[in-house]
Amino acid sequence: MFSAELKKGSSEMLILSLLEARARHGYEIGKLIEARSGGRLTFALPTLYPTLLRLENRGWIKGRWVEKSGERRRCFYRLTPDGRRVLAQQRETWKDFIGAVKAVMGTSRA
Amino acid sequence: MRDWEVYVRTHLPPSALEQARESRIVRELASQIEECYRDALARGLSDSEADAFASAQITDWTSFADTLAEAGRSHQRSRIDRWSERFDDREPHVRPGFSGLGGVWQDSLRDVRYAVRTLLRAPVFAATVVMTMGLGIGLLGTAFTVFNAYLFKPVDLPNPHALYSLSWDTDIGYRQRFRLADYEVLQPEARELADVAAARDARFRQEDVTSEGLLVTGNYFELLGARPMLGRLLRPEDSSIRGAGAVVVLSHQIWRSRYGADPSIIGQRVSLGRQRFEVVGVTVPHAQLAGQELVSFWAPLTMASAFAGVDPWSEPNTASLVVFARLKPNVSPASMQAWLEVWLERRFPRPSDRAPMAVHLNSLATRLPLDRDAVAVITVIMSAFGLVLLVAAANVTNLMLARALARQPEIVVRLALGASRWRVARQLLFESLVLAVPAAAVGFALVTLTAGVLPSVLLATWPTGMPPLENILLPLDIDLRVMACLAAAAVVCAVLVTLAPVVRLTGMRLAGASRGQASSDARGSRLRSGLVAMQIAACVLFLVGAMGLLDASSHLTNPPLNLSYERVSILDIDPMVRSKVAARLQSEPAVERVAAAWAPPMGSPLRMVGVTASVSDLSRRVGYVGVSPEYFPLFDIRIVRGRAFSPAEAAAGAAVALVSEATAAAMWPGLDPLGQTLDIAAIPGRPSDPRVPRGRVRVIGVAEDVGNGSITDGIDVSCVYFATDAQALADMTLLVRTRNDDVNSLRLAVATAVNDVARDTPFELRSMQASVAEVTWGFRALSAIASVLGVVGLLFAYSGTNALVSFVVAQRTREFGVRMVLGASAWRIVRDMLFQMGRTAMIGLAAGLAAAAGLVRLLIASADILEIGVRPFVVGAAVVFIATLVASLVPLRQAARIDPAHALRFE
Repeated sequence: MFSAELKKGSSEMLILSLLEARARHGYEIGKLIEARSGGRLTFALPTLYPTLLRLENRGWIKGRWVEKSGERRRCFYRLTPDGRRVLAQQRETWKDFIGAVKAVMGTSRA
Repeated sequence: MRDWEVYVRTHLPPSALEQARESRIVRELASQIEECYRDALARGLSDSEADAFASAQITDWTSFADTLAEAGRSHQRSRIDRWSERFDDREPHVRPGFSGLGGVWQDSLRDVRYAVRTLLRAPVFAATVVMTMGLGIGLLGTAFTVFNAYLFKPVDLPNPHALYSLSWDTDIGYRQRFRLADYEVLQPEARELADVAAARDARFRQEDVTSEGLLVTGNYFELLGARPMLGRLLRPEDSSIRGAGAVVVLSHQIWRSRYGADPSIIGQRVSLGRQRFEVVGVTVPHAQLAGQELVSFWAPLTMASAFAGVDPWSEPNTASLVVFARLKPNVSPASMQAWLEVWLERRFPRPSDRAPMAVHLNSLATRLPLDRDAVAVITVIMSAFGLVLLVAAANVTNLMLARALARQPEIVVRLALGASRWRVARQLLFESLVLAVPAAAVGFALVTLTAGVLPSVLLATWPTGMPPLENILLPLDIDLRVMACLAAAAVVCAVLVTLAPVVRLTGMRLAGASRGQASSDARGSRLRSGLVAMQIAACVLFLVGAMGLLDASSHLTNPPLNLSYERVSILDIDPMVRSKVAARLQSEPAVERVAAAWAPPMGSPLRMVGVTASVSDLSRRVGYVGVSPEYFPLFDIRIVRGRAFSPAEAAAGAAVALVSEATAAAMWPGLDPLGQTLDIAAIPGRPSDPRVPRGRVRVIGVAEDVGNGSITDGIDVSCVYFATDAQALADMTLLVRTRNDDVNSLRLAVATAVNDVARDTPFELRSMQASVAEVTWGFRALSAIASVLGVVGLLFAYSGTNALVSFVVAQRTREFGVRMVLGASAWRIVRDMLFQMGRTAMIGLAAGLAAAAGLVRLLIASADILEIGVRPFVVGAAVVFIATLVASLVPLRQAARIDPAHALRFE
């Protein structure tokens, strides 16, 4: 649907924004992206997991093994304060980018 | 269902990830694949279909392992790298439309980020620089904090810069006061320019403790805009009728010390002077203005009759009032001064002896007026502390220069790639500025610490007999001014330490530098040696200063004034009762002798008067003092020719005088001074002293040379004694010599005598030994400050030398190796290095000693008595030389142990 580059460029921001409200486990994140984008965005495990690993290494998210009653142990990721800051910056940049793209495309149409 | 963990483990190729981390990854991958499997089952797929679906999630395990390894690589980076990465990730957000300014801002931010990253990679260097600069900044900040509290911080009143006290000089005296009638005329006439209030000092003695206060007009506190801490302050209605208004406002200090901070004090009645007063309020702490440090209460002026001293109503011709003014908005001090001058000239037209010669508006905005004397003191002390900062900067500059050499390749590459020299210089400046921020924080911590400790140190060393410290000691607040001083010091320091490395790095020739030529540049090593020499010089200066002042203080403990002052005390008392108290004291068994003098010795410098001698016709300015006949035996001053005053001459203030031996020799060289005369003339431009006899006086005796002026003036260069006695109403103090050393028995005797004459009249009694202790305390305090600076200077000189020698040894290792291979012994190499270092040390020592000698000469010029011998110079120089030697020896040991084979491989 979308090019791999476009998806790759936005994957980190998408994951960070999904973790903004609450901690989620890896599989849930993948499913949520797919569901919320109406199936237009999918991140397979080979893409999603290394991204999670990278985000964790940078200290933007933190994974913790949680065993809820009646459920299996899962690794839940949550946003760190650093991650929250980065997300806010990325959102701003993204907004500016979209605005700039819109402005350019609007001008060319006129 | 299969065991997905085993599945992942068998498929995932071994990676470079550490074991613990890998097992966590395996566990998590397995968990996610299992989720996939369960999801498939939930969607209705069969077990085998779900298994196939889950297994298909990852097909290319080798490429997946590579991706994982790459993603995990950042984990292996150092904490510092991750830290600096955080700075890198923060791209500044530049708003469109601000591209010019935004560009500079963006560039600066990038420079800061780069600087932080560079410095984080050299944490030991950064910490050393921060601590060194911080120490220098902190010491300077501490000195400034003290000055700030007294000289810069405005008093806590609305618009304090509009507050002034008014006074003027006349032909016969300084700082004239107002009479009540003057004030009553001034108040309505000055209304356009200023509101005015008046006050008079009040003293009373209770249970042998003398308290000082201020009797004020009712509008005094309104004029100031002061607020009470408890109750209320005085109001106009409190001071409307003479003899009425027995109310008092207490100072916060006295409320705490004498009344135990009793919150129910308001409404209580307390005895002050001859009457009981109702306490109506307590001021906030430190409500006293400049010059009112000892004031502990404020009562209405209408209650003047309750206290000793002038009652403005019953003695309308005595000027006793100080007038305070609050200038109206838009009225400048200069216009007020001009107006007052005209007003005074109109009120006291010449030839009135109250006609103004000079008019003064003294600012009350700060605790101490920022006048010429204050500026001189600040300049001297801040220069000393500034020198420490300079030494710290020199130390850091040396570190920076050493680092600059190490960074040469990096800078060469940047210059070669097209970076402008300005760009590189700016980068280096930003590195220093980034270091200056934590250095300022260290300085701030030091200031906070010393501001907390200093009051207790003062309290522990405060000499007895001086005014209570709590009245004088102000809180050392760290306010915006102090912060600004710290920031300014940090920025100046940062710029200073950048200059030399910038000149060296941006001035190098690219072609040569890229081949490493600049590393052997002689200019750089001369600069580094010069900086170390400067540190050594400053250190010598401080140490000599500290020891010189200490010597001076011990010298002053027993000042060679040729006076037997040890059992003498100074008694200040109301002139109305003075002569009666003096007569009464004569009969006290504890008292050996009582004399009177216009000014006691060891206080202020002698006042000067112009005289012309008979016969020789020589005109000179000479020191003078008025004394009673008992003055000479009281201090055991020998009359070497002629005689002392007779009681009749003293009582009449007769036109006779005694002169000191030095004066006699100067005015009548080779002649007999006895029977000669002196014509007295005022010194132009200075008020003449009404106590000095006018016209001609006859010399009746010659006294041996002694010191009648201040302690530091030593033996008088010249002195003329005029006749007076305790009955004269002029400004005078009594001098009481006791039979033994017991000051307490004298206090009791004086209290008894005073109570016999006029009950509870306030008096002030202090032994001359206390005066000596006061002066020596000042010298000791200065010596302590110089010692602290000396120790810090020594620390810097030590570390500076050590760093320099270490650097040179490291830089010349290869050369040493070559020399050793060619047959030079290790001892010869060490000897050469020692010689080189010794030369630097000698230059520093010589410069330091020269500067110290200059300073000592200045000190001696200001105070004749100070004799600073060679001891401080010898000891100071020796201490610094030894420290320099020790600092060189450690790295030199390394040089001696160089293995030539290893050294030749050294780059």
